[in-house]
Amino acid sequence: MKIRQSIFLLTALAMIAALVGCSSSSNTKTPPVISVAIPTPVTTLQTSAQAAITANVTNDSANAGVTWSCAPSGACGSFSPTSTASGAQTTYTAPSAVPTGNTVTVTATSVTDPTKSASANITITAAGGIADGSYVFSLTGESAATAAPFSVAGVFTVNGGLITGGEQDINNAATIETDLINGTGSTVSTTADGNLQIVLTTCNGTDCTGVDTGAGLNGVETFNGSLFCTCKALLTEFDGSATASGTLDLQTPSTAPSGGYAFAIAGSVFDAAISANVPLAVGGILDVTANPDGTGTVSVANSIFDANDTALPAPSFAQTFASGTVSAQDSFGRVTFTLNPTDTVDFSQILLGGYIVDNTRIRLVEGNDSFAGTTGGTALAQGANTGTFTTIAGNSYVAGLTGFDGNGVLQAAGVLAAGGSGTSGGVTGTISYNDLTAVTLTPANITGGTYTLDATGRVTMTGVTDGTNTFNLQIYLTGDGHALAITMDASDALAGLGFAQNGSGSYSAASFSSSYAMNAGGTDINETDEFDAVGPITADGISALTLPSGTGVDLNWLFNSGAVAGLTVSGSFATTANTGTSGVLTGTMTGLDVTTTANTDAFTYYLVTTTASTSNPQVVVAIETDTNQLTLAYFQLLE
Amino acid sequence: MRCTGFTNPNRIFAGLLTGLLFAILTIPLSAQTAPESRPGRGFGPVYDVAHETTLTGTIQEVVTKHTAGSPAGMHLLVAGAHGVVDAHVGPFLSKETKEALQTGMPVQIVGATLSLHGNEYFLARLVTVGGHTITIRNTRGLLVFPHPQGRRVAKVRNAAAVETTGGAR
Repeated sequence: MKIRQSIFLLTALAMIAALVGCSSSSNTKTPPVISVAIPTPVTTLQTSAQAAITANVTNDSANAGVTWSCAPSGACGSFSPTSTASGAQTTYTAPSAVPTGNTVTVTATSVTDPTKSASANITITAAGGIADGSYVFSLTGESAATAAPFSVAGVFTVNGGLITGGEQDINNAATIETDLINGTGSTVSTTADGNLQIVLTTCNGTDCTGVDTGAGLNGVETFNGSLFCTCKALLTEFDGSATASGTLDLQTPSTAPSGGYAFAIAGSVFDAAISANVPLAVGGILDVTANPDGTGTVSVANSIFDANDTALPAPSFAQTFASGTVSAQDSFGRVTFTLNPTDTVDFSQILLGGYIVDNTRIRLVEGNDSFAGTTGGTALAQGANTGTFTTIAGNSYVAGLTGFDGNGVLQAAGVLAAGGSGTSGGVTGTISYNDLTAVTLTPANITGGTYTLDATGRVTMTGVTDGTNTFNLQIYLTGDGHALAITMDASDALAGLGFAQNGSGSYSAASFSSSYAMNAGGTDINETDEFDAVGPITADGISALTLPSGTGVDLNWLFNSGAVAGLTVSGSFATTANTGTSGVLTGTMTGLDVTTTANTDAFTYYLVTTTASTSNPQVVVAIETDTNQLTLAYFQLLE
Repeated sequence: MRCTGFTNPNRIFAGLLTGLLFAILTIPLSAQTAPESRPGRGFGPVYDVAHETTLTGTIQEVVTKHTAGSPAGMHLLVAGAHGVVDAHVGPFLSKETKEALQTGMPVQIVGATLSLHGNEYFLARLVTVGGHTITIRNTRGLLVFPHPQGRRVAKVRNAAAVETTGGAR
């Protein structure tokens, strides 16, 4: 009986439930679900920067809009207003300091249904566009104190958008010192024309209580930069103490230097016989064995250097070291190379302060040594390629070089192709050079020359000629597409960077496209003083170089116009008979001429890669090819 | 007006005039002229100490404005037994040296002649003015930079011996 009653009861309940269900589905409406979206949210902002943000709310019959919030609480910025209607903008202000993790999350929450919201992550970068971290800077140029070559390199740390400290080496022949950088008085910011500006206040060695009169303007250095990512920039010194060009790179904690390094330093060296400083370029291969205690030992058997020391009667090829050491890193990643050449009559001990960027790059400044040079440069790691170079036949290298000859400042750029096979062969290519007297108005074809390669990656190019001038070049390879080069001529001393050409297909105007950071340096028509400039530039892949809207080029012409920001620079380029295989374009640039601003100066552009893409970083080396002034420029593709 | 350095009529006109002036004023020193072509020597002008001569005269004019095709920096037009010679002293002179090189000053210059684009320039290596000898170039012909006073240890080299210099530096 009880079982029958139970079955009846369950059946009745099921029928009631079914009826209720039918009634519900056919006769009443469920309110549409509210949804919230943040269309096209901003993804990156500098500290304290503002951006308009909008939230769209759908299915909100109350039209109540959203309220805005963010995380991490108290360190994520603010909104004005804090509530907005659907589709209306709020102004979001980024926090004044970079939060932990460099990211904030902004959230729009429906007022009508607080369970519905949308969020977006925004990366907060330090003002100036660089992220937190330690940065290695390195510049060479002309010092106001001596009106002669100088070098500076160092590292500073950015934390929460603020510079907290650092260390640097400077050598301008009058001042040779290693100083701490004081966080107080050091800033990073963005200029009105959109460039990076770094102001560093140096200490007297480790004493940060007084004014350092040896570096910058009473211890204050200003560098302006054009970023090509949030971690790298091209720099120019932008104050009255010096003008210089160089680089800024995010520092990656690295192990002690180990393996082969191609290196080159250049500038001047003191010649006691005439009581003057004379041009100098030194390059070579340093093979370092890392020791367990963090120091290094230079292998005298596998290291070699060439010196174009113009205090000596002729360039010195294939010099060796009697010994050499590398100190352990300090807390800023600084090491000291102590190099003792075998030929102690011509070459005294060389001390190089080195700031490690990462496992591939070390920026160098000569210290107060008995070699008595005023030099700076770089060392590039060869890694697994150390001692294994067997051939460069078929390779071509774009190089930009600057230095001095008997007429004053000399600049050269070109593309050099290695023929033959194995470790030797002929040299072909194209060259441009300019000292305001000897100028290649059009790129000159190289008609002769030979090279040899040794296992260390040292390339000796001899008798390279365009039919007018014949020169000798030493190139030091890394094996990963980078190179350093110096000339070994009696009548000049140049040094510079090289890049192995790469990419599939042939070069065309389209190879020169996209957005670049530009760094240019040279002298006015009278070579009274050096100028240096940085800024962004866009190549359209057809014929034009233009400045991005709202940006400018910052130029420092020592003793003359001084530091001037916001210049407008434009240019043009066109293909030549050498474009397809060699990557050579010719054209013009306007806005960099310090002598006559309106001048449209002739330029030749040497392309490194056939296509411009972030996966194939492109450098373009440009040289002025008229007698209006001297300019050598580098264009670095934005990453 | 937008124009290139080679199409600007004003620049060309000025250059031609100045070049003509230099051509008139410059006395050929063909016996000591170095070749314009520089086989195996590099990009810069060939300088051969074996072909040095000594020029004695008076500074007739100090030229600081660049003439197209001429070596950059300061030139001295020196009047003497050779006529008027264009002596190139370059862009890297110290302030004191620039002040010492005034029109009317007697000067003695050791150097060598360079033929360049049809003109001849006397590349000064040593300039003696006011009793002081100033080094302008080293023996390889490269222009030198003034050395700041009171700097560090001096290196003695085994290079070819050159004159001891002093003076306004």
